[in-house]
Order: sequence, then C-alpha cells, then structure tokens
Amino acid sequence: MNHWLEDMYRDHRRGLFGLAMSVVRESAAAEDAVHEAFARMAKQQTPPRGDRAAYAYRAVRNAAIDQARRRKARPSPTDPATSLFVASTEPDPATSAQANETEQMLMHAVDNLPDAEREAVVMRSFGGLTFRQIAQATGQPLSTVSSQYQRGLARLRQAMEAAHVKA
Amino acid sequence: MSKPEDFNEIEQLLTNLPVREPSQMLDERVTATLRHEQSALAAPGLSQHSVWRLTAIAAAVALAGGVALLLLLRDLPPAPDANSRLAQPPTQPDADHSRAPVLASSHNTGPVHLVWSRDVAEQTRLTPSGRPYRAVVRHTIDQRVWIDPETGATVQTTTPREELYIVEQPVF
Repeated sequence: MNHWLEDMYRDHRRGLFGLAMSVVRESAAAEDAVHEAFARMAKQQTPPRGDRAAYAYRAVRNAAIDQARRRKARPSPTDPATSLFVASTEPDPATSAQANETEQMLMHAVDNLPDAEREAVVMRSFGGLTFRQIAQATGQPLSTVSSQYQRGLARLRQAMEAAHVKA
Repeated sequence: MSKPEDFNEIEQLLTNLPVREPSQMLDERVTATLRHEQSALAAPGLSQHSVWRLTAIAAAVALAGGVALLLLLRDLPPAPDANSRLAQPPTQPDADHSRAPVLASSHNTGPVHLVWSRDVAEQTRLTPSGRPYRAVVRHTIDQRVWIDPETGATVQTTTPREELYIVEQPVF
C-alpha cells in the first residue's frame, strides 16, 4: 500500500525537504514537516488519484505551513542556519574563486526571494516538477505558477548582475 | 517578461547549488513511519475479513438460539389462569413487591404466554366490625404471542389487569 510513498520519498527527498525548508526556514522544523506529511499520507487507505508527486509536494507544503504557523517567530533569512543551502566546507580546488563567489551570490539571492517565487524555484529546480505539478501542489493556476517562476529567475538574474556590477 | 530560454544559464547554475540534504534521521523516521502504517493498515484488512466471518457465525448462533428458545417455550406448562391466582392471594403484602415475568405456554399449539405482575400494598384499614385488613392491589400485564411455525409470523396481545385482594391482618 505504501510502496509508492517509499519510492516517492527516495526519489524526491531533497526536493521535498527543500520545499519544507523554504517555508519554515529551519532544518528541524522542515524535517518534522516532511515526516508529518508522510505520516498523514501513509494513513490514507487508497493511493491518491492524479499526479502523486504533486500530491506529496502539496502534503509537505501544507505540513510546513502548519509548522510555520505553530512557530511564534519566523527565523531571519540572513541567518545561515535558515538557508536552503549548505556552505561548501571543502571547496573543489578545480573550482575558480569567481565561480564560488557566483554560487554564493546565487544562494543568497534564492534565500531572499519572495516566498511564492522561492517555492516555485525550489520545486522546479530542486524537485524537478513541471509547472503543472507545481500548480497542483500549490493549488494555483498554471499561468500563475509559471509567472512566479519566471519572476523568480528574473529576480535572481538581476541580483547576480547587480553583484557583478558592484564587483 | 523575459522568455523562458533567457534563463537557461541561471537554471543551470541553480541545479548545481549545494542544496541542504535531509538528515539520515529523517530518512529513518519516514521509513519507520511508513512501515508502521503499512502494517497497521494491513491488520484491519485481515480483521475486517474476520469480522465478516465472525458476524456471520454470530448471526447463525443467534438464529439457532432463537429457534431453540421458541421450541423450549412451546414445551413449558401453561400459566395459571386468573382464577387460580385469585385462589392464591399474596400472603406477604409488602409494598411494591414486584415479580419477574412468568413464562408460560399452552402445550404445543398454544401461544407464548408472558405475565408481569406487581403487588402494591395499601394502608391497613378496619372493617365495620373492627377487624384489621390490608388491601393489596396486583397489577398484571398478560402478554401472549402466537407464532406461526411455518411462516414465522407473530401475533401479540397485551392485556393489563388490576386485581384487589383483601388480606386479614393478625391482631396482637
């Protein structure tokens, strides 16, 4: 009965956790949200109709929103612990310093995207979802999701360009 | 708005970012939960099947018990009629003395006969000649049920009755 959930978790664990992190901004709470979502889904007697990945992302997003509501204060996005990314402790020697700098700027820009745009970017880029799946997961129209994603990428590019100009 | 193909470079950079991974502890928690729920869901499936079987067995036992009870009731001796009860008035006229229902039946073809009765003792009074007596009212509900042995159809009658007994009281 739950084999599809095991497969779903194995294939999407990074994207699902990234989505939860994007909502709650705290690693332990994000893990709780993912666990809670899978526990809820596992209680369902029958597998969901339609797209299962979209269903799982929707469940995790809802659980993460519940977690965020339970938390009194939302962590600041400037806190490294709230970042969607981990700092590279052992940089690849082959990677140039400029590439590392670009990566750092991009990570910072993603962390500071508006919520809806960040969620769309995370589900699309880290979860590999289609716009249709993202629309089902967020309960928004397809055109809205597509626009959010495009706006997010545009905002990231602007941030990168501004950083390069300053440099 | 920019065209989607304009963001190819950014999208490529995004896919190479070191995204934070969930911990191994979360992997274990999720796996354990899924397996626990899977076993919990599997159990009701088996028991649900068992419940149906048990229900069928219980229904069969109840049906057999009902038939046996009916046969037993048909073989019980007939209940004493009103005249015989009048001949045996209550000797202990305690207040609100209730009796359990009496099961009775005519032999073989008669109805199932149920009698509930309750005795209520009133105050002690004196006769015009000065002798003490106590009036005891017996409330009786007489129920008879006829059962057609072929079709199982039933006909039931309920007859309430109230009888007054005068019980002489000893004088000390």
